[in-house]
Amino acid sequence: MKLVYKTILINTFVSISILFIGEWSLYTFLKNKLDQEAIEHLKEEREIMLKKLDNGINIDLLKNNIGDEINVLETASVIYLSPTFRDTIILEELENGEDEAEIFLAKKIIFDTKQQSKNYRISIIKSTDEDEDFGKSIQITLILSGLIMVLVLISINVLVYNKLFSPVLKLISDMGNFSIQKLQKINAPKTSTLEFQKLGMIISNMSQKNIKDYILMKEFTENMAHEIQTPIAVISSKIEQCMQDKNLTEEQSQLLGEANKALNKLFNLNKGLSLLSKLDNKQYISSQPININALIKERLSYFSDFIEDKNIVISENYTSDIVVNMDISLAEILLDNIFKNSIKHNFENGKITIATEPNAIIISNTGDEPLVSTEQFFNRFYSKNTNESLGLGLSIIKKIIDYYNFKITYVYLNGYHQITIHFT
Amino acid sequence: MTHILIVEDEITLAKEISNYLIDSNYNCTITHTYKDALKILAEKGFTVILLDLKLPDGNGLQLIQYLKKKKITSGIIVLSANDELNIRILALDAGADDFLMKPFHLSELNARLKSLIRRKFHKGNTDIEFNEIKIDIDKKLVLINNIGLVLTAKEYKLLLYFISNAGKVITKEAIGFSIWRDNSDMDFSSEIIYTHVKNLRKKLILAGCKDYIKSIYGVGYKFDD
Repeated sequence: MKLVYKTILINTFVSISILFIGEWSLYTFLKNKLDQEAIEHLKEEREIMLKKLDNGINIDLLKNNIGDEINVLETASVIYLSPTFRDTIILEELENGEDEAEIFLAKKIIFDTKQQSKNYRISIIKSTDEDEDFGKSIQITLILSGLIMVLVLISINVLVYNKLFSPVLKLISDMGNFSIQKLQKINAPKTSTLEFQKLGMIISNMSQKNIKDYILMKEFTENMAHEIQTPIAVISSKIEQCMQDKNLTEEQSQLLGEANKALNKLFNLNKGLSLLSKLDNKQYISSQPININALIKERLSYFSDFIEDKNIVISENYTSDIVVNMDISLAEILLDNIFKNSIKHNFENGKITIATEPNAIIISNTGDEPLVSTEQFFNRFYSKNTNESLGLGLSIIKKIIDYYNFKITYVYLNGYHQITIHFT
Repeated sequence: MTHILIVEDEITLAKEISNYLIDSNYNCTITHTYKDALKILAEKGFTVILLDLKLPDGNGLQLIQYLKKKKITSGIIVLSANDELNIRILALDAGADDFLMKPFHLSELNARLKSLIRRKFHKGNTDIEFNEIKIDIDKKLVLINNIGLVLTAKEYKLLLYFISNAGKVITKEAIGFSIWRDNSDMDFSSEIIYTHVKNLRKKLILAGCKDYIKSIYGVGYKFDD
């Protein structure tokens, strides 16, 4: 969730809560006050009435008071010596066309009194409905002003977020776009906020340092691969010279043979790593249209010895011509590694099928079930635990595919390892 | 005698190359720098120059351009540890006759050297003879005691490689590279080499040739009388 929405949500929640609590307290407070006032009013009216009765005014005349409803009843017993207050309602008389009587809230005072040795029970009812209306208008005003406040709060949040946080947003998008291979550091965005200035500076410095380290590492890897070639060449030539010695015993020459074999492996490994590092560094820029079908046929011919040796049957099914723009050397390396892999991990008398579809080639070969999940298939150094295989071939395939944004999929289906390359 | 100039800053490697070539009856001169190479080239002519591209005081490519400008006709084989894919093309475009990536097998260098000298300096007479074996390079024909012998393309290549390195021990790895180049790192290549050598040997003996191919256990082969 965006920071701005989070802030708005929290702000809104808190302000609405406060609004409701405040409203509720104000409402109860006002209601109490108004009720009390109504009671005071009724008390006063009683006092006035009692005074009038004392002055000998006929009790029936009192009923003609306009305003509050006054009931006078003759009663035998005296119950309400002291005045009693009740909540009550007033029912408005039905007018034409009205189904329901209107109800008004009211306060009622009941008290008994005596005049000319007769007991009277007097009740005065005062409508509090106007007070209720008053309370309601206060409530509405409060809610409205509360809502306006929340809206203003949201707008302020959005404004502050957009204005104050814009350097952070820019920094985030710069960091997202940061690619170490582009060798472009992240620039600290201009801002007057101290914390953001610091943040921008730290990230900018960090990116710069990363780029520096990356360049160093790149140079190191490249130099390493390059520098190793010369000593290997020296060792190789020394071994070859030693082998020419006519006085060598069989054992000695066998030792030399083994050393040479291991050295050859080291050389191939170094070559593979060097290629991978070059691909990482995007050092292949030449590009030309390549007819993949023709290239497959050409590269396959280099493997005829190995194919014949294992007595592998190759079936080719070219249904569409594929022309792809890429570096010719990389295209050769790509196909060579795929073929190498499908021959190496094939059975004696196994099968390889090569098919083309519009913009895709599918190469499948018979072979043992994979030991590792098919997702791990292209990881560097994954090899089938045979001492002979270097395991770099698949990583090279993957790197070349990634380099050109092609897609490669690998599945093991019905005893076939199937590699599909989509040239998109 | 054939004169070879070795321009290589790695002293040990230059020495090993020179030793191997002297054994094969070449006359070798070693220089380690660009400047020395220029100096010696001004004084003396060479049949072939083995040239490292990365020299402490210069670039081998410039030296090739210099040779071309001066119309020096020496053959040039570039030896480079720089495995940029286009460096081979750059070197060949500049006028090099061949390109060999370091590390290389000395037997491979020897075979390339012989092939270059044949192509460049023995035009019209490109036959190779080894006792009763005669090879017509132009026609790709092998004659044993003047009778034609049919070989597969790989057997022919193998025989040529053996004769170029006659008397030398050749490793299986070197043979693998000479046949399959960069794809020689297959697990079972040594078995296939064995099969090819066996077939070639059988054909040669059947054609009345002496058994020149000796197997050296654990290492490779030697073509020797």
